[in-house]
Amino acid sequence: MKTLGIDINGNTAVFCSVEENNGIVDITGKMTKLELKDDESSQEVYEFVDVIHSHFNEMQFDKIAILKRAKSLKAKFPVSPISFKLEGLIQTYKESEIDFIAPQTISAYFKKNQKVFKPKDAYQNSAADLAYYLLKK
Amino acid sequence: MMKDDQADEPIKQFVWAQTDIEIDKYSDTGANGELYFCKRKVLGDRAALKFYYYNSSVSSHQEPLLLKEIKHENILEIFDAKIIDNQYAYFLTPEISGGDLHKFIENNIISTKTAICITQGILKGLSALHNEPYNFVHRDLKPNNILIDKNSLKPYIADFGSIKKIPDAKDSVVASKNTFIYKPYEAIIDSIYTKQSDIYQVGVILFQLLNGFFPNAPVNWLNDRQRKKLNKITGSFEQWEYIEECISRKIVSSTLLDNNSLPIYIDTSLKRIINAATNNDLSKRYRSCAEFLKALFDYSKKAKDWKAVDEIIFATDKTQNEYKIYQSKKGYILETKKKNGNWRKDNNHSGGLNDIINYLF
Repeated sequence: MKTLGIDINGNTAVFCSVEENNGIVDITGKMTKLELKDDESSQEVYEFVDVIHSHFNEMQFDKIAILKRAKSLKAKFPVSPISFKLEGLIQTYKESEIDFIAPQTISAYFKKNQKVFKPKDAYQNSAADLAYYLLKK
Repeated sequence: MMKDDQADEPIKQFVWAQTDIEIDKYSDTGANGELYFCKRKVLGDRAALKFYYYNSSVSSHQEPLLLKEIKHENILEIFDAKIIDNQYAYFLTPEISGGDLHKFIENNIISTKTAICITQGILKGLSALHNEPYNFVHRDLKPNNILIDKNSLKPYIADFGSIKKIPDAKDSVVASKNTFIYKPYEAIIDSIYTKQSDIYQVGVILFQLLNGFFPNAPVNWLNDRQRKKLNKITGSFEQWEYIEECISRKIVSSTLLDNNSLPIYIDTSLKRIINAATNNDLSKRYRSCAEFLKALFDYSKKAKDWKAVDEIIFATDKTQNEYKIYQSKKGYILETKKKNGNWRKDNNHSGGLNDIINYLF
């Protein structure tokens, strides 16, 4: 089984993908993060979508999920509006359902289960936890 | 008058007999058959007819069947396919206005942005071929097999004569015997061809689009010593064998693509992308079209669009500011033009070409 966890941070989508194959294997490769630098440039937006969809098509993930973030502007740390644009762009993928998982769900899971998988880069930690959770749930 | 003297007689007769299309052009550049171009009378659009030998005892319709199966904006569409007698068949596709990419590269000044856009288009089409349920490898990607729309600059992967399906539970097929110069390392050493081998060939196409040294004539790949040796070899077959051996050595030793032959404005990041796409070590080569696309996407966001016209180097940045560099008696001059402004000299450099280009990077 192959899963992909996505953690959106501002204008950057951070990825971690794992596969259960005699243990947990990190299959993220070079697709660790993707930044939408200019969200007003149509060309950049199209290219962003092309890269992501092409990655999804090639990897044939069994599960894909995005880490849910607070939508309220009154939240203690309001999230960048561009991050919601990224969510929408990722959701336009037609071949597979894109789920949303709350960070609390992940925290609750790891209270009862040990973390046995570490991603290549520390900035992928949240995406990696999500990918691992998808694999085990 | 069409110069189709080389075409087989039954094909010529069929062409003359058509009433719903006006055939007006013949091309002898089709790799595996005769190629005619026409206007469809009812729809008024341009189309291409590719004739091929048909043998009822073996499956010879692979190419039109594949074109019908794979629908993608960067893969040539098929309108129709027909058998005309017991020996010949043809299929009808749109005529792509710019012709093949080989001619396009020869006849146009291609900016870095255009080169990257064309490469992205090829990769998107290739990604569709590679993915489930098809799991195909093209095995003969080269500029002659890519068509390009001259207005939109959209590339179309064409010529599926060498395409092969990777069997389940395998990740390679046997290497194709096609165009030698585009063969990747693994095809020469192990006679295997993988999806990464297609990526290698797209890397070579990017190198050509960026105007790197890539002669058409195989003999031009040889150095002086090799040419002297070639002249002493008698027999064209033996000569060809020697040329292949020399080129193979270049491919195997990773010296086929010389990044120093690229224009001075091609920066290290873009050269790194070419290296990662064409690396002989598969663990260092892009694993997938998506990885290659991502690298080009990341690069395009920050890069200027460069081109050279008549010894003047032009660059445009994301905010449409323009730059031009040219040589004067005193050294190199840099002029800049803000969006909707006039050209002004910018003297914040030493006058050296490298210095100016680094300043603009």
